[in-house]
Amino acid sequence: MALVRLSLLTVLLAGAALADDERAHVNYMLHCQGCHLPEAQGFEGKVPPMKDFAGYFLHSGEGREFLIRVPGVAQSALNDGELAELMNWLLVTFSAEQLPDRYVPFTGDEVASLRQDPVIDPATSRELILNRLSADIPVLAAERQQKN
Amino acid sequence: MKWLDGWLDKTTESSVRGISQKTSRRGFLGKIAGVVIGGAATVPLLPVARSQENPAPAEEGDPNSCEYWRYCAIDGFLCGCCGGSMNSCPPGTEMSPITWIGTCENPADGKSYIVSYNDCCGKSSCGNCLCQRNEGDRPVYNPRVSNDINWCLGTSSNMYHCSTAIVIGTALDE
Repeated sequence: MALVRLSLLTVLLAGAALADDERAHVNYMLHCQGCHLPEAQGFEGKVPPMKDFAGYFLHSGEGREFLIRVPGVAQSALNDGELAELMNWLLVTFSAEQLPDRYVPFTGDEVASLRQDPVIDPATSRELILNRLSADIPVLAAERQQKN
Repeated sequence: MKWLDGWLDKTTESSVRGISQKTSRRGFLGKIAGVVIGGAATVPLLPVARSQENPAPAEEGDPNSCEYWRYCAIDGFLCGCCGGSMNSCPPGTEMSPITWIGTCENPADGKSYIVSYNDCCGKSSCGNCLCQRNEGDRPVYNPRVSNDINWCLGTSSNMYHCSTAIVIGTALDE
């Protein structure tokens, strides 16, 4: 009986996780995709890419904060919990390879406090953060050098 | 030279018989048709930007009428009245990849779908079938959900011509 209960629980949990992923994807379509495009690839010179990239930001505290403090995220119409769910889905879906080994997902509470303080000049902050991260992440440094 | 003719005849006959025994004519025709039709499907014959829809919703209503369900949050000229369609741009225009996205309820199945209103750009305003329904439209200080913005961003020209309404997903039940 315990085994049945356990497998039932697994099924329920899997179902819940699936529903959350779907909700995250729908929220991505409604709140992000218009500019960041379906694969989060962004648009050269206009919209920064998140695909194969966003995960780098989680290698530093300021980078992690930046992802929530950018205006599009901080000022989104989504509530804190939905926003955390969307960011966690996005990072794993579009940029799993760039995430640090000890990746800690965002929580609603963390998002709630970070979004109170949106960045004023995201492009400049982004450059500064990425320059500092490049010192520790050779792949990122090489990628940025190739681009410039 | 008779021996050569005879040798040629025999070789040709045996190789052709061999082919006809091992293959079917239908198979050959099928392959040819596959190449021809497949080619037509992968290489558009007209210089028109097209979109494949997934999911494909049940349909009712006239896509060239402003009352059509997908246009619930549109503000612009319907591309179907401008030489394109509800999900493709007229020849000579370019579809903006950057777009605004909303949801509309489809009366044919009662479901809400996520609709992307990609603008077609590169020619002056079409002028036909102006449609302003604006349901869910928000002021421009909330740019992601405002349709008063010229969304010809990321195209070679920012001249607005007409708007499409492409289904990109199914909305969740509230």
